[in-house]
Amino acid sequence: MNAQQQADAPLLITTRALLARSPKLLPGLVLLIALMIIGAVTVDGFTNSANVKSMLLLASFLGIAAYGQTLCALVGGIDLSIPFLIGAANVLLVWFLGKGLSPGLAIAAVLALAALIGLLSATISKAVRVHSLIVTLGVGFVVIGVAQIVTTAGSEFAGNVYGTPPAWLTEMTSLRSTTLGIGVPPVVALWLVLSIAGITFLRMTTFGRGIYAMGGNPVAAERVGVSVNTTWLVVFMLSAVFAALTGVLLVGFSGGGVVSVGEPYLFTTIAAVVVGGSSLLGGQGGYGLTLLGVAVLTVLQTVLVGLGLSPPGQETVLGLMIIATVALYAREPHPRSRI
Amino acid sequence: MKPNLVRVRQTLLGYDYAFTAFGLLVVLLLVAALRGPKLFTSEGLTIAASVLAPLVLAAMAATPVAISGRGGVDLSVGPLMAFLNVAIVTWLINEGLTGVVPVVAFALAAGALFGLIQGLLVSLVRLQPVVVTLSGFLFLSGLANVIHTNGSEATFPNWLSSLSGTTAGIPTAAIVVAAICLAWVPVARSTYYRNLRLVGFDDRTAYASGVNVALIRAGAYVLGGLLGGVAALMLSSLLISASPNVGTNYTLIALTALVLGGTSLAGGSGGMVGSVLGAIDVYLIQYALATFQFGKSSEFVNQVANGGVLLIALLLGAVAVSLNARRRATA
Repeated sequence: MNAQQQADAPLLITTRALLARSPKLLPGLVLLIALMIIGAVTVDGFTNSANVKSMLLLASFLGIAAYGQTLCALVGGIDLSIPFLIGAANVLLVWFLGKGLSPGLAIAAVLALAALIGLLSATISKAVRVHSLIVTLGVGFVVIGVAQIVTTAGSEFAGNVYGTPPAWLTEMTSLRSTTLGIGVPPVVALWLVLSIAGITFLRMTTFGRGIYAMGGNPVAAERVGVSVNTTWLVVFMLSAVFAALTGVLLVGFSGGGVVSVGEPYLFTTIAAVVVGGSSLLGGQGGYGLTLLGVAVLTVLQTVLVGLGLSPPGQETVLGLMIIATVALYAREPHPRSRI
Repeated sequence: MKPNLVRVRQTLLGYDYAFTAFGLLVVLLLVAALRGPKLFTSEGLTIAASVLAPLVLAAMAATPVAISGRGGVDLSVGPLMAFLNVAIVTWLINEGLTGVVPVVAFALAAGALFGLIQGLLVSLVRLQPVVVTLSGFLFLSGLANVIHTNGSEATFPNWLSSLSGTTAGIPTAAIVVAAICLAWVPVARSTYYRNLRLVGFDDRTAYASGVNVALIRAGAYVLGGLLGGVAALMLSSLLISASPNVGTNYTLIALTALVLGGTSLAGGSGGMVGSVLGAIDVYLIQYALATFQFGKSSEFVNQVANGGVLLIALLLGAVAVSLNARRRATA
């Protein structure tokens, strides 16, 4: 064994141990590595630190928004209000700041409003027993419409709010910033912290285990003392808060309030969950898988841009890739095995 | 009660899922008559019919997929219409193929083929319908933009643009939609459709009683694709140009109309009547709102109204269901 192999050995062992515990990581991991190799070979400057940094930055927005979608998927729901909440939080924050609110208070207000909206979606979908996808779509329409009416009524700029975000927020999402001397923007560090907290929450807390139990079988979960209703409400509240947080962070990134800033996230959070390998039917998966999904989507996008594909071309490839990955490892059982 | 009255009552109860949409329609027609009576002139009706046709057909296209169950949400219906619209313009009309036969045949065949692919992915490969139609959404909205060329477009053939006009004083778009609805009647009465509802309601029971679940379910996606093809023709006739980016909007409106019409995404219940009424409701809400002067906010007001009506319809539907259940329990 030469020196290089020896240096690789611990990494290899960790990967093997991780895969032994979560075999579902394998397909996504293979895909990610394959894409990285393709990227390194075909795209000039793919391995540059500048490119890696910008990929991490883009991934952090998607990653934070996708945490909520992961929770929803784990309880067998889908949250379509995420893009609308991102856009609404984005314009509302700038509008609050323009009204003279301090940044801390404005952000707290936006996140609290989002929590209320999540609570509303969850309550309605529970009360009328309709798939959360439709309810969150309706709530999303209302939220983004109201946000725009409130923020731009009487102004000539339909849907856009102009203002200056606080310097630290811009700093946080700027590619030039560093975190404690490490050359990545603070938002990436925030994503890392949230990821660790989020995975711990799901794996180690009673509430987190309850989410899995409920997604697997709500009746059984109720019998063993999981409050199915509370779990459902909290999951959608968290999803709304994480979406709003993404919208807040995007204010720093884009430097103003643009209501359409959420649009690219209409289906990408679901795509990240699915490509990662979590089931949309509940009970199976986790945020670790979604992280992998986010990484795959971000690397794929960079590779496709590097290969000269236009955004629509990328969308086409993404559609095909979701089908291919899901066909590999997220097929459902035949009716005869469910009788 | 007289026997024929009983029959009328039973027929009506077969459509009880669509009561909310019907009640809303009556209210909205009154509002429209008060706020914007121009709707009921022959010109107003012609415009309304041509705008409504792609909406109604999109909602219809999403219906069999929803009935087929397992959370069948046809997210791809809008992008399918947008893609076929662009494909008709770039691949056929710009190349001089402007006849009725090639254009209609292409729209129907391509729509059905896409539906078949989605259907097979759902029923044979057994992927979650949401994932399949989500991928279809991304694939087609991307492809529509890829094949769209920003060059000069050849003139639209007369027959296609005249679908938005009138025939013998009646809006042609209304005739097309009525014809499609009539064509649906024998389908809705067929054994196939009964099996489809059974599969959507509970595919394990269907399988255990010897129904070919995979074939029946795939058929729903083919029907959806065919209807999507017709919707694309009416969309092209309305727009008279290639517009690759209208898909998302049609998907969202089609799903709103579907749910307003009382079709459940859980599968097995609901039907075309509700979707048609739901789509007309959505249009009338936008029409009524447009009579108010909201200026630059009008688009946002529309969004709030669409979302609000969808939520209210869901609540009303739930109240109706629980009242029904109580009545049955006491009877």
